[in-house]
Amino acid sequence: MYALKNNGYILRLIWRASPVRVVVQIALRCLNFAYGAFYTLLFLRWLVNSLSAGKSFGDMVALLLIFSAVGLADGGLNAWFQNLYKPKSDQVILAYLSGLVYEKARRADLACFEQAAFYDRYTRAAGQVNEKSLQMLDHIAELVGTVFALVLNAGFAILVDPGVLVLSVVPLVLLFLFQKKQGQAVYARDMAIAPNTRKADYVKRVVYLRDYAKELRLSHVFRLMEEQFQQAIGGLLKTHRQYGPKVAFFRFMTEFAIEILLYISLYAYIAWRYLAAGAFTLGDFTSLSGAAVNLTNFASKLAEETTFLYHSGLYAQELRAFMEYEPKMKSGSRTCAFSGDIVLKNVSFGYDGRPVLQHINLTIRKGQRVAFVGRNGAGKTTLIKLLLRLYDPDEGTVTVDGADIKGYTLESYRSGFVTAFQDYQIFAATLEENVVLHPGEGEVDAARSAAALRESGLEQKLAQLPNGVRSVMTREFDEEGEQFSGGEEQKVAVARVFASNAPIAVLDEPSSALDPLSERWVFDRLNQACKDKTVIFISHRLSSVKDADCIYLLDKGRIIEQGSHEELMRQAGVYADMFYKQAQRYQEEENGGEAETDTFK
Amino acid sequence: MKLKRILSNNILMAGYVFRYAPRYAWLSVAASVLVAADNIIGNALLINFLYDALANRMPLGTVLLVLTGVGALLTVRYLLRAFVEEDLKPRAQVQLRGRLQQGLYSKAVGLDLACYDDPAFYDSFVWAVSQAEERAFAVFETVQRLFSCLLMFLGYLGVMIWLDPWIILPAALFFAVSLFLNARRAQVEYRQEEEKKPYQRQRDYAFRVFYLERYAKELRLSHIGEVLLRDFAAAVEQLKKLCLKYGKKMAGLSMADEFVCEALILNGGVYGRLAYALLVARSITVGNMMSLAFSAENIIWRTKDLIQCASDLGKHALYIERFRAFLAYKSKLHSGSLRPQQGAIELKNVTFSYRPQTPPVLKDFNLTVRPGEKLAVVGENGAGKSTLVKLLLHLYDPTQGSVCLAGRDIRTLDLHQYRAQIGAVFQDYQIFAATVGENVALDRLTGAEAPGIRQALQKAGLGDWLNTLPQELETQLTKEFDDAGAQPSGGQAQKLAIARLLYRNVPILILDEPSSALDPISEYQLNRMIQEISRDKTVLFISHRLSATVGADRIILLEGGKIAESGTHAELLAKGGKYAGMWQAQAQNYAIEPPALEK
Repeated sequence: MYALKNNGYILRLIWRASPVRVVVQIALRCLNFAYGAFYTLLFLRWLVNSLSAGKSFGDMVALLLIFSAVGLADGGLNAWFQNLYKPKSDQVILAYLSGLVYEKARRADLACFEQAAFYDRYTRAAGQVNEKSLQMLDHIAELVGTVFALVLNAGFAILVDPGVLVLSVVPLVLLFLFQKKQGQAVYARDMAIAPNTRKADYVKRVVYLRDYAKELRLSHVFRLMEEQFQQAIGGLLKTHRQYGPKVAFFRFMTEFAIEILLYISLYAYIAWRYLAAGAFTLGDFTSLSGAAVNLTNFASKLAEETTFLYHSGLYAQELRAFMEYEPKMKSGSRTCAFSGDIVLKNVSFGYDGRPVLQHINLTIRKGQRVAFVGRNGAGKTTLIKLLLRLYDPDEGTVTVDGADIKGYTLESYRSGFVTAFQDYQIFAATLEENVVLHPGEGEVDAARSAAALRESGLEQKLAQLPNGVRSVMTREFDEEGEQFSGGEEQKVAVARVFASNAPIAVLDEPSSALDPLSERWVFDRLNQACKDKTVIFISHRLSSVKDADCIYLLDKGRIIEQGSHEELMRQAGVYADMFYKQAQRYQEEENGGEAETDTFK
Repeated sequence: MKLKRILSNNILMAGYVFRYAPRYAWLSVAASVLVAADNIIGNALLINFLYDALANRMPLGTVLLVLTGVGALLTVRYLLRAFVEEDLKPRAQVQLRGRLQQGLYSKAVGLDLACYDDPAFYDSFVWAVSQAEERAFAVFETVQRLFSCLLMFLGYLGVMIWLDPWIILPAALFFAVSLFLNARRAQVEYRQEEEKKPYQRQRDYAFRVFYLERYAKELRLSHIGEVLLRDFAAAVEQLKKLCLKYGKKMAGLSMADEFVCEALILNGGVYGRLAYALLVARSITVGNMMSLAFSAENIIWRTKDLIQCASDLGKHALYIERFRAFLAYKSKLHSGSLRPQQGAIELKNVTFSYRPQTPPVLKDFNLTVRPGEKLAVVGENGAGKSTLVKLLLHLYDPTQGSVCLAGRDIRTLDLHQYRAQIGAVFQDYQIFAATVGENVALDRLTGAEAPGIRQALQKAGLGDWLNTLPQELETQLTKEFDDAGAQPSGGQAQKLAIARLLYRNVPILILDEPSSALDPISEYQLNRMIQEISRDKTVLFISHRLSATVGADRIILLEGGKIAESGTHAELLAKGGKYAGMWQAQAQNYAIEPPALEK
């Protein structure tokens, strides 16, 4: 019942998008079923009764004309709804629902995306809102129509002969009983096959996905995959052999209850009433047996629709959880001016109870250049996320201009930063918009983005593009779209920094895909462009952090060393060791001798 | 596509179900025959009988007997169907998947890497085939539905001919007009879909960006979301316009269908004829009339079904065309038969381009790598370094020229034995959802390999990690299908990739940017390890970090698909060319002040 209730939630959403659509679709469905009832219950009865009474051919033609007119009205309404009203209304509803999900997704905490458990259940549910919700509306309308038709047919049957209804009780009870049993058996089977299905799907992915193509050709790992696949198939067959007969039996019993028990007994009953009791006319027989057939059909349809809505209710529940999720991160009310320092006081943070950062204290002065270095997984990227207020610390505070950043509006706070991440994305929009990252506003943005692209070393590339900065990026929905190489894309991401007026630049491994010369070029330009900015920097290449005013070395979530390059080198600690390790092979020339750990010596 | 081709395509695909799951396939056909028979007996004939029986006041016993008979027939039908669909079908699907994909997998793995690298080929063929078993079943079901519809169509036609042959005329007219209108409708629908497609893609893209994880950060930190919303709104507007444009035509066709087929032909023609036959000509009974009306209705439904089936077959055929192309694809790489000998690797006048139209990535390229030589390859992004690796691994054949090992063209060598001579580590190596041992051996294990694997892991610096694992070598890696599976960290995964090389003990190593994502310490350790294992081996090393390549016997700098500079580190520095410039760019910031260096 609970799951069914959640369908109401989806219905409410659609109602808000277009109440007219909901009313029209449900009313029309009822009208269609009413027309069906009119046909079997009234029209056929008149027809047969008039025929038995020996009415003239002319009367019959008149009757047919009336019937045709009603049929045409019904068909016309359907044609209008299906072809004209519904497709357009679909677009309106989809746009509305997408808009809701957008708004929600945009405000949702980053954790909703980064935590697999939350993402897989709720965020993904939101992603399916378009396909699912309209489907659900169809089924809800179908359910209402079905109930309406059941009432019509049952009401008619009661009027003519209540015995028909009495006869349907047992089969209907059997139907719902076995349907439930079947549902349980199917669920148990689905649970039992899940692990092997996952395994077989995995092998399929490995074989057909590009990521694995090289290794499959260069090793015998395919033999291993084949073996896993055959095991999975064997396991699946065994499970199906175990559950199949049970599911088949329940399925048969549901059909037996309706299609055989109810159907045959109704005919027998009506024939008996007609022949033995002499209670009916032949027309009554027609409409009553019509009602009987309808009752059986609508009863199984009712069962089908309830099952569907039960499943979609489970989906709706997840969508609802996403839509009703309140971001834990609240926007403040003040505008952030970024006129002073950024201070982290005793900041701790963890994912799922696993500590990532512990008791971090640091101050970034306006205009300073700071760098974070450390091993993979030391917490550098998480620290950046806290600075950008993509997460709030579990403990401690981040303050800017002397006030907790939670007091600033998210919009004003985040717009103080321009970022270039290692996992930057290129969007299916114009090159210009990919650089300025907001809707292009004419010549100003065009000039600004072109200048930024030149700064990041894409001058030649830009000259080759027929549409310049107005070129559409990616082939996502334009077959002629531009497809840049990895190095070029990274330069586009760097160009975002050049094009921005934000007072703080955050650079997370911005040069990992670049060759030495491009890297050098980009860094020289970045130094130039960020002269007036506060710069926060992450890199594994220590040569590029050397000029920072302050370098923080993170290890297992703590700052273990900090200071300028010279200071840290003098400390001769972990940083100095790291630097030596990277630097020693560049020293050969100056030492005139060979370094001790060349790769090949 | 020609009708013959459509049919042969569908027969090919449905044939897989008959071949790999014969019991299901034949019983399923039997069930269709029963369903059709039941439908006609239980509806048209039963009605005919009942009305006449009642009108003639037949004894109740006879009526009940007939009803019981029909009930028995229905029982057989539903029993068979439940058994076929709920018990046999799921198993048949698994069987089909097992047997069909087994063959397709081998075919896919035997495809040239080029098929995966070429997005057009990959999307339309390789990826399409991954859905082969679902499609085979869908084809089978369409064919079965078609068969069943055809049987019923003929059955009802028989009833009509038997009871009143004249009724065929309006029914045939209905069939013809309906076919015509539906064909028109399908055309309009197709045009509409084609025109809507780009806007739908645009709409779906914007939506996807909003809920996919990888875009989440940038959406929060910039205003790019507004760009997407703007495009989204524009796409929706266009879609609405198209809905209106085509909706009018479609509604017109629907109304024509309603008016001509339903009102004029069915009500006027069929029912008119029935009323006439019953009342004026008195050639049929009330039972006949009910049965005929019922048959006429059913013929109409079957007509619509048949049209639907035919259009489905057409859609299937398009897919199967690609499937056939995949099956017919002949690998351009051929395995030779000679055993590889150890010796120098030579590239002689090699020119290579990925596609005939595109400019070559390597041009007239000559290179000899002596046995035991350590060769470093450097160059800008896109200079052709990774292509060189793919040629050496014989993942591609050169467009012109040849690659030789010990003087023999590698095309004459047995492909597997040749590749077995080379161990390669890429930046994008994969960890498989299999045990630790299997991940090192990259093969099925018999158990005898354990000591070798353990040794390789130890040498790769994973000995301690191995001891922390609950089931040691038997521990499942990744959480793909075991939530308790071990998840190696980036550094551990990298070492695992090295352990694979150690285990295989090959004479030639190829390392393609293995350290680009590593922190300084991990990078240092990796370089130490590589140094350890490359003794006595021929090594080809590609890296952007020149510090890793400085000690090579020879360094070649690629530029525009050619070797621009070649020599030892010292020679290249002395030359003062591009390599020297690259080196300067990286080294100047690593200069260590004398006091620091003394420590």
